[in-house]
Amino acid sequence: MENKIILLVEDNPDDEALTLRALSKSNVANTVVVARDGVEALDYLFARGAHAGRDPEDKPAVTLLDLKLPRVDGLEVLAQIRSAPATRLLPVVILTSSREEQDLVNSYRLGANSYIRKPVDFAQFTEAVRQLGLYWLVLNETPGDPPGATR
Amino acid sequence: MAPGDLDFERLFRDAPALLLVLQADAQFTILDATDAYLRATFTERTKIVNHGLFDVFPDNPDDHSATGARNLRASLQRVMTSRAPDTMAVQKYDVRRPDSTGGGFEERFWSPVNSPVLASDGRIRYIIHRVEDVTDYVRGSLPEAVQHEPSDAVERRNRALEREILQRSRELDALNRSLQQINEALNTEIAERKRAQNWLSELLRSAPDGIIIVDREGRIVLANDQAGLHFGYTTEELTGQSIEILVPDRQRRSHTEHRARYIATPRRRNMGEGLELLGQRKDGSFFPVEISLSPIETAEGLWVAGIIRDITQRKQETEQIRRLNEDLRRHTVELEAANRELEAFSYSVSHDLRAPLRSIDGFSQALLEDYAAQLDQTARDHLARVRAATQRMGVLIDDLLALSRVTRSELHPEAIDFSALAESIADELRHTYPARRVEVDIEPGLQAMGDGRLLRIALTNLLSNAWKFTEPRPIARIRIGRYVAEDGRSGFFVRDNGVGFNMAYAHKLFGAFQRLHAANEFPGTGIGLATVQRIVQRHGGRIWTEAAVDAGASFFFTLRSEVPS
Repeated sequence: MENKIILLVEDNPDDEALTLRALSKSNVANTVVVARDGVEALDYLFARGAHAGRDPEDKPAVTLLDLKLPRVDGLEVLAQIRSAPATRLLPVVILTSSREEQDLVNSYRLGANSYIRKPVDFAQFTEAVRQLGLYWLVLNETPGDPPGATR
Repeated sequence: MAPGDLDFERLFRDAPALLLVLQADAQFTILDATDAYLRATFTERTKIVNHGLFDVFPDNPDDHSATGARNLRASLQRVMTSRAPDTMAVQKYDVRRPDSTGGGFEERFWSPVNSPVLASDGRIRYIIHRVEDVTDYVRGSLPEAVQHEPSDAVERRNRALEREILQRSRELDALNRSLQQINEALNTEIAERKRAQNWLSELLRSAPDGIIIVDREGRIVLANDQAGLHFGYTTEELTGQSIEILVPDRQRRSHTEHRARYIATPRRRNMGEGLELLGQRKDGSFFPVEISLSPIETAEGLWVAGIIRDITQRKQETEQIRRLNEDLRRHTVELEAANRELEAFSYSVSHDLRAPLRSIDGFSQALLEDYAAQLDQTARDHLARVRAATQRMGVLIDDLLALSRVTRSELHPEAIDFSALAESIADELRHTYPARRVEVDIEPGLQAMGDGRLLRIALTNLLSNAWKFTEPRPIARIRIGRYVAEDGRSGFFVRDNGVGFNMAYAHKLFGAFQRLHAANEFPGTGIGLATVQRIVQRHGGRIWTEAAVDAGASFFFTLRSEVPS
């Protein structure tokens, strides 16, 4: 579990700090890579631009994706992830403020694995992040994982 | 001596004329006769009075060509129907000799007149039958020379002449009848034509459209009242004028040309065909007209009838409708823009307004956790208040967004089992507040027509309120049922035995953020009832309330598209 990478795509530094705090409070000690907009997230995933030297096979166990992002927004990032063969099966969890119907519908239509709305109450937020970590990093099996293997 | 003192019976009976008085009945019963008549017919008063005319005066049974009785009956019947005197041709009508002189019939020729005696109401009271014995005349009309011929030859000639006179007489009679019939028919036809003409000219005169008829030179032959009104002339002023005086100056030349072409190839042209035209009034002003034309063939040549309709009002109405439509379109565009703005606003609120709240709450919590040792009780209390306020703000934003969603979302009406919906919401509330004791009475079989999702939101709000405001009651009672107004419209009600409220503030109840209770008493954002009202209004219904402090509250609402029970 420690080797698995979490990609957090979040432009708001407060939310970034709170998410990291919630993760550590929940005893999730995985490496968290933070991308602060859609372009950065895609560069990381496809090992290009600032992340050109990176091994693209080293994929995150889960991507926590905000919807409202500078430059390329979250839905567009999701669409590109799903249309590239290398990242087609990558677990993507939408983590956003919005509970607008259109956001929910569009996210699932584009192939989000889950949709979590960030609660205002930090205690609830921590609980939500804890469950996320437990589910996606411990319980969930992805096609890339050899049975029983830990990376 | 006054006429009233005259002895009329005596005068009548002694009158030197052959008169019968008949009842106007089917038998033509004889009522009286003059003595002269009795003598001429060899009879007595007592033998004929109160007997039918033809019972006592039958045809001569030996004369097989006798037609006297038949002709007389026909004449009397004509009098009955026409109520006018009827003069008959000379008739051969033989009379019976008294038995004392050997019986048998004696040849007689008569010239009869039948005349009605009318009562004051116009009905026939009696018929007077007057005859003259013309036997001697018929016989005496024979030429002098003939009378000296041998008697059997005279007799034969007599017979021949008699037959001829009778024949002529009958012909004359028939001719008279047919002339009378023709006359009657002519009179009827004249009356009918007069009526029809009156009717037609009245129709023409009073027609709601202007009607002008011109001859082939364009002179006005006839103009009706309405045409005069349209153009500001009297019909007399118009008659004989050129039609072009009604056409605006600068169109007269082309109108003349058009008219010439029309005369060359006349055809019916209906209202609304072709161009819109202008008429010119006597005072020089113009007005829009619509004209239909039809050619009329007359003895004086081709005339053209035009029906002229003043379409000023219609054009104004059309213009008004066009303006209203434009206004409507503009409003729609504005509304759409406002809607899009609202959509963008809501989206922004949803994303951006909550993020700072999360920061405030999150970092307050972080302070409490990481610096608990440095903070005294007061500082911790302040931070707790910051967090409570932040969270409350979060709930407010969520409620506002819900209200805005209710406004924006599309309506999908369907038949709803309202009783089942209420039951399922009550179950959820019982589950949420297991400690409460609430008796919920739901009228079975309630049906509604509406958007299921929105109705659930509305009813959830109403029931949650009822739940909340009955909290102080040891046994809370909530009733949901059908409400029927006096005008027959029906809706639903939700009634509780809770703390109620002062009706003086009822008008504030449905405004967003309006609350009638302190937050520490009953928590809430004051958006729930605004949401309910919005939902009811979107269904074309209305919501109102009846309540009193400490005596419970009732909420009534209607939905326009309701399922009739």
